[in-house]
Formats: sequence, C-alpha cells, structure tokens
Amino acid sequence: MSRHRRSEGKKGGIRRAENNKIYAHPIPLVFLQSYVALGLSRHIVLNPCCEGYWDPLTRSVWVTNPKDSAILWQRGFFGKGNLSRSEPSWLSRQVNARKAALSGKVTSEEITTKRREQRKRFKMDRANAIAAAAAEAEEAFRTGKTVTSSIIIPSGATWKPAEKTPEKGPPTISQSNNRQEEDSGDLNSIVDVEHLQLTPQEAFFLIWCFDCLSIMSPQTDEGMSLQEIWIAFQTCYMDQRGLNPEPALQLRPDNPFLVNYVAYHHYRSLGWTIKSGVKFCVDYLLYKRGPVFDHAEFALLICPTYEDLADSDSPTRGTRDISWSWLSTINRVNSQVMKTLILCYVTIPSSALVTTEMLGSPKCLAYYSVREVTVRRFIPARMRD
Amino acid sequence: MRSWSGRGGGELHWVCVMTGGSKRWESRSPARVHCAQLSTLIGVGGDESLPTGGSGVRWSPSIFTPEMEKHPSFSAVSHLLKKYPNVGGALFQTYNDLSLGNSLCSSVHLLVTDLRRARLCLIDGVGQGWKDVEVLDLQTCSRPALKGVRPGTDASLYVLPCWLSENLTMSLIHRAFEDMGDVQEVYMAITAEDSSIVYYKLSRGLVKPQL
Repeated sequence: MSRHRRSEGKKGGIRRAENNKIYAHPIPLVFLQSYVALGLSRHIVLNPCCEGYWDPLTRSVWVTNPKDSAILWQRGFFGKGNLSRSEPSWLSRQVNARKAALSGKVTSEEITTKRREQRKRFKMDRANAIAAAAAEAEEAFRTGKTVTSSIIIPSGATWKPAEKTPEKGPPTISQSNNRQEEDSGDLNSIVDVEHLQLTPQEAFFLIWCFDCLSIMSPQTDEGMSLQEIWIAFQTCYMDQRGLNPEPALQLRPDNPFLVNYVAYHHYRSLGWTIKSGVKFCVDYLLYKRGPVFDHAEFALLICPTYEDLADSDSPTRGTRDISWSWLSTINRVNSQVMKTLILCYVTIPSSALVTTEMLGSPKCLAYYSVREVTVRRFIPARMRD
Repeated sequence: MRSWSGRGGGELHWVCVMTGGSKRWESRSPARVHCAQLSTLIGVGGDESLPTGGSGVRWSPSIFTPEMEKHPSFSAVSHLLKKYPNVGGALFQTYNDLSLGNSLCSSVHLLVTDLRRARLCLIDGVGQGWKDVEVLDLQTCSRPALKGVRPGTDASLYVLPCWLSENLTMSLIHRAFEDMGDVQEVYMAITAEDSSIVYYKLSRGLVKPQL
C-alpha cells in the first residue's frame, strides 16, 4: 500500500493533504473546545441533525438533502450514492460530461474509467503479441527454421500506451457547437436524482449512538421514534411486510438485521469504517480510515451461530452453509485482492432466553456475542520458514 | 449470501464479473471465475419456494415513500413494484442504475413520460448508456426483469434483478431464460441494501472469454 504512495510523488501528497482536510472528522459529531480553565476543558458538541426517509421497499434510508449527504459521507463514510461507486457524485459527473473542458474536479468514476480503458488496451496488445508470437512459431515449425523472435510480449509493469489517444471528450462536443447557449443554461437546471442510501444498520447506528439522524416514516411523513425504527428495521426482513401485523409476535433473535447490526456496531465502535463487501463476495469490508485513503485491509464474513440448536429451523434462518469449497473460494478471491478474510461468528441467543418482548428494544443486543477467526491459506511449500 | 453448488450448474459456465454501482464491465479468466466467483452467486437452495409476494399479502400502495414516488423512474416501474413487493426494491435500483447510472457514455434519450424527465432528456440525458430500458414481467417465474440496449452494441440484453439475500434455484434461472425468449445470455443484477449492484453474466454452455 505504501508503494503506491511513493510512486505518486508530489501530486499524491497534495491530494492526501486535501483528503485529510476534507475527511478530518471521523464521526458526524464535531467536538469544539470552548474554553480551558483550571486544567478543565469544556467541549461543545455540534450535531448536524440530518434527515432521512425510510424506504421499506429498498430496505434503506434515503438522505436526499445534498448537505446532509455530504456531511454523512465526509464524517465517517456513511452510506453510498445510489448512482455512484461511493460518494454521491452523479451530478458532478453529469456536469463534467457536458462541459467542453473538464472542470478539473475529476471524480473517482472517471479515474477508474481511464484506468480500465488502459488496462483493456494493454490486454489487447498482449493478446496480439501472443498471437503474433504463436504465428511466428508456427511458421518456424513449418519451414523448419529456427527464428529468433523479435516480438516482446508486454507485461503489466512495463507497458505504456502506444500512441497518445485523442482526449476522449464527451461526444456531444462537435454536435453541440450550436447548442452552447442552451447547454450553459441547462447546466444549472440538471435535476439531481441521486440520493445517499444508508443501510438499516448504518442508519440505526447513527440514530442510536450519535443521535444525528432522524427518519421520516413513509406513511405519515413524520419523524419515527426509536422504538418504531427498531421494529420497522426488523420487520422489513420478514416476508410479510406490507401488512401491519403485530410485528412483536413475529420477532425472532435470528433476524438478519439484528445479526448484521451486532457485527456492524462491534466494529464501528472499535473505530473501523465499514462498507458493503458485495464486490468481493463477503459481507463487510473494514477500512482503517476510509475508502478514500486506502484499500480495505479486511474482508468480513458474518457466520451466525445458534446458541440453541432447536432454534435453527426457523423461517428467518439465513442458511449460510459453511462448506470448505465455499470458504476456500472466498478466501481465494480476497487473497487475490490482498485482503485478509475474517470469519465473524455472531452467537444468536436462544429464543427461550431472549423473548419477543425483549426484542422490542435494543437492549437485547447485550445477549449477542462476536468472535473473530482469521483465515489464511497455508501453502506448505512456501511457508517453510 | 449463500454458497453455490456449481456442480449442478451444467448450463452455467462462463461468468463475466462486472462490478456495479457505476456499472463497469470487465471479464476474468474462466478458471478463476468458475472457482471463485461462481461460488459467490446467490445460492442454490433445495426448496423451490421463492419469497415472492405470494404469501397472500397484498402490497399496500401507501407504503411507497414520497421520495420514491417523486423519483423520475417511479412511473416506469410502479406497476411491478406493487405486484412483486419482495423484489421491487431490487428492480427499482437496477432500473435506476441502467438508465441513469454512470456517465461518459454516448448520449442517450431517456424514455419520456413526464415533464420532469423531459427536462433530463433535453440536456441529452447522459445516462448509463443503456437505451430503451424496458421493464418486463416474467410470467412463469413471477419476477420482473429488464431489457435494454448497451452502448456500443445493438443487441438487447436482459437483466434479472434480485436481492443479495435471496435464495434462487436453478429451475428459476431456467425458467427466466425461457421467459426471456430462450436467450443465450442473461445478466443477473444482485443488489445490496446500500445500492451496490453487482452484475453477473449467465450464459448457456461454454463460452470463451473475450480477452
């Protein structure tokens, strides 16, 4: 990881300094020191008081206010823009695409696009070189001569793009010359259809631990109480949402929300930044500071285990059949991207111990426990020392 | 997320991995993908029953949040959101990603049905590039699906949205292939709650990688 930093040089240093400034606060609350007297200091806590909407259909909390979404992203990397890779950057990408000259603010998606195009070109060059070398070898075999091949097969480390490809500006450049007046007006009128999407776990963590988020109910458009939020988050994972049953009758300790929340809360309170791990076939990715700073070091797989085996045939049971083939493939994927796989065993208390009434309040989380096991592939031939 | 018993998947061989959210396409070599990525596909369960809306529950339309109803993509998908509440969220997110998602593609005109979207259209809606995104209702498997034209190609591609936590079966996938007109390839859009989407390409038979 540090070798990337060294190769970036001065430009990387500037970017890092900027990032340190923008992402200075690790949590949404900001502590200001108001005065220091007699060795005691007094802190004022600034609470951003963000607002979100609970959407049971997509099982997420939407934060549509751009200021709130910026705060939640910059202070703790909560949430994800629903039309972007991470930070809600859809609007700036639209604006960039329409301007003839890039505004200078390159979004992460654009950097990734360039990188992937280069990689694609490299792969085509390599494929062509391999094909040419094979053709030469065939020729040599056929004619019986031995030919010293002059074809070099490019490697990823040394390849450079052959010619400077023309700057691939937005295709509308040539067409839009007569529409420039329209465009400049339209730039201001682009409606931002993106929002920041928080998972139920992130949203509950923000509400319960920092009290910096309030959630509006879809039906009444009023703020939901903590109790309502807790019940709603659990109910949305059950098949019979949409009705208004007595949800308390159906709550079970192995609810996916509870199990995921236990792990989320555990690692967040230890200071890790947690993002979704679906791209690497795991549940969560743990970042030391944030996705902006460095790649995730750990990939977390949640393995729920029942304390009481009689509970294990329940309707909400998420059957994670832990077989060796499954585990080793996930390990392979993650070691390919240099992440350490962690199995996080969340113990689900027995339903006799944690009754449905207890599940109506977050106090039931005390009955869950978390254990971690790190998985590394052991290759006897290589790990002799 | 479940494990995948790839042994039974005689018709699932080549899987292209495409990371979603902003929908980029890249392929991996077959050996790696077959062992690693296949097993991360949503698992093959033993039981045929799917968490469709058919537990006798009718979706109450008032469940739609005002934010969703205001969203430009709502009118295109609302009828299926009501019919299939359990996968409606996945459908909505996938539809958004395909039609609105990443930019830097060729200019696209979104299907216009109301004035708000007409405004997006005038500005040369630079969306994901998927043109003519249509919403389909697959009868046999009781699921919604999407169809569209990817930039740079002419053929229409089919996308099956689903949740990460869902339990799919091979028979469902077979029926989906049939319902979509016996196509050779279907893309599965696996959505997560934070709106990450991962696209997997399912093909019939053995397919060589492109690069």
